[in-house]
Amino acid sequence: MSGDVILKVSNLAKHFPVTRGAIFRREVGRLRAVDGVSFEIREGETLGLVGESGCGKSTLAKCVVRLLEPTSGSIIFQGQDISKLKGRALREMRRNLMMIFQDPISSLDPRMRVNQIISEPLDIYNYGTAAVKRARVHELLELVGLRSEHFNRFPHEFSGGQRQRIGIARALALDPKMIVCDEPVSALDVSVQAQVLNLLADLQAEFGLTYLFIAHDLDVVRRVSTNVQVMYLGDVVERGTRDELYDSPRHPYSAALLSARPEADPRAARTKTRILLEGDVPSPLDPPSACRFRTRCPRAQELCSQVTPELSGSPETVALGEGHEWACHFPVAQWPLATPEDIRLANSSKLGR
Amino acid sequence: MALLEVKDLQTTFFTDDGAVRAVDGVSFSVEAGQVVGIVGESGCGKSVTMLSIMRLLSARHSATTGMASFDGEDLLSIPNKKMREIRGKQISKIFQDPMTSLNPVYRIGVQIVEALRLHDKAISRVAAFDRAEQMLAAVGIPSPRERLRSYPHELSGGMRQRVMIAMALINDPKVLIADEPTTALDVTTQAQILELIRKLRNEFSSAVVFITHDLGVVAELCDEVVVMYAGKVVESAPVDEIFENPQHPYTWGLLGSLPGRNLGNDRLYSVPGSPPSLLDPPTGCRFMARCAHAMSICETEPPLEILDHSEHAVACHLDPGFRTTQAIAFRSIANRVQEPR
Repeated sequence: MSGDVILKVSNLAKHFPVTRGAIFRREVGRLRAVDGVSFEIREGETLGLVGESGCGKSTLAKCVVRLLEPTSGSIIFQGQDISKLKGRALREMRRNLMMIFQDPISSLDPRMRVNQIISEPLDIYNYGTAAVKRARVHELLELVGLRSEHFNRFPHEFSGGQRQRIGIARALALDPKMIVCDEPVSALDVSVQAQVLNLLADLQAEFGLTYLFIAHDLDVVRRVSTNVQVMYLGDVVERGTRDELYDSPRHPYSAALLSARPEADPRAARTKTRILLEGDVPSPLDPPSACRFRTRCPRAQELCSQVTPELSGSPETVALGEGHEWACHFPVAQWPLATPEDIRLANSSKLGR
Repeated sequence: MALLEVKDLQTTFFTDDGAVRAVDGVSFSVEAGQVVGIVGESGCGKSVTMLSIMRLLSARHSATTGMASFDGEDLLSIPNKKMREIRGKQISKIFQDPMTSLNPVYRIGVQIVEALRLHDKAISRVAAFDRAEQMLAAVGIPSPRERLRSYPHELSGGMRQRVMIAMALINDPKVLIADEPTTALDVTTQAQILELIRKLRNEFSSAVVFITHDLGVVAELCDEVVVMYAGKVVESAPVDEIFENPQHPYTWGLLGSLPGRNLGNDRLYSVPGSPPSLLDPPTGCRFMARCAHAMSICETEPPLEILDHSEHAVACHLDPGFRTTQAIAFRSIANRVQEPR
């Protein structure tokens, strides 16, 4: 099912300067929202991106579709570096790279009718005559499960799930190759969420779409993804195929996320071992030295504050050519854990992988 | 006797378009030390039910009938003054959105102490602040003394929610109502808050009513579950029963659409359509239009809640035998999916 690499991101960073003063503006700090992230996505695949709020996943998404200009690094989309594109070239590129937004209320203009919203991309890219565009909008409405009578309505007349469908129709209008979905279902009720997830899966099968799928709900990500990547404070801490990551997480943060996820089965929930992380995510203005997770990590040692762990696999997975990688000096060896204490290191003098 | 018992609660809002009965004949009860989950889609009346019980709805725009007895008193008929003594003292509430429920211009210490001194006029300011500090420590806020002087915007979402919980618990309430307290939070923070509520239930044997649309949270925390749809209770049962022997087609739909529970299925089951308008609700079963098993009787006769031997009530016209076979089929799917893990 997977094809060529469609998107290759290398060393991408986005820093927001924090400034003081109105006339003599000077930089007093840097918010490192995304700090040196590399990954690739193959055609027809879905890369799931998980992490807590403030970990930089939305900033990363906005850089990929070039709603933000990255501070450094490259983004190769369909063989072309798009990180520095401007003007017409940028517009041409965007035709193939669309985005679905999180909030279906604020991402649709309340004063535009559904047909105007969906045909806006068609207008911008001179899709054809008015009649052709009209026909296309009707086709798109049907594709996303809305009816032709919705053509002239306003966004407020729709439910949350239907509004998200309008957003999806707008993203699909120009037959893009890839869609970046930024928390597309987190504002929806479970039954509606299921409808939208099914729709996204159908569209992917029909048009061979590639998704970069961002969500904080681990079950949703598991449902849709081919590969999964976990972010913490602007950096990727672990990535692998969906099953590798969910069946044998190696980074303590991934393990904590997985164990914190509510289990929709009361018997399993009672016996489950939970790793409770303490405190909150540190400020990205002043991230901890070396390993950024060490301040909340139950396995942290001296080494973690001195040497930054690199993203890499174990010798066995590298030899097998597998892509499961983690950035940790003391990865979790067994999963699931028998007791919450098992997350701590048995022998704290142990060093290295 | 149950600590809080709600019988045939009906809440009607008067709107420009007519009367909307947002809650229509809801009954349930909560024992001390028990967590009862109220589940349903947005707009099903779960929040309005609890607001009605706490008498937080405007009397000019809404009317509530029925009975809500707490400790032998009917909350709906006692005088306002008496209600003010109970509210925040005996029954308190954690609101959904900690961003808008805290006052942005007051320090959080002042806001917590207000809740305390309102009900205990004798307590000194100093003692009240000490108590607030203890409470912040109890909900897991680091350096609580300094935090008392923080403004809400200086705290993260999880911290703010803890402040809300501290405020709700400072008077040792007998009943705690939590209205989607973890919806706006990350999983790791959510796990911390759920652990906290679990601890409170065990240590103070408070009764907790937990309103949520997340069945995962229900499975983790609740003892009893009430499933609501379009202003009515469609099913209520102990938590294991709801997950292992679900009897109502709407509950099947909710469970079938959970992404984490149905890994082996190619597609998630989803309930088609959307809930009916409560301005003009259907005469028969309100779920009929979205139900795959609807019959002709469903159109005319509203189904009654029938309680069977195992404390499992369901409001549906379907043959109990058929429902049980469906529930068994459902359970075997769920089991098959979980085996390989």
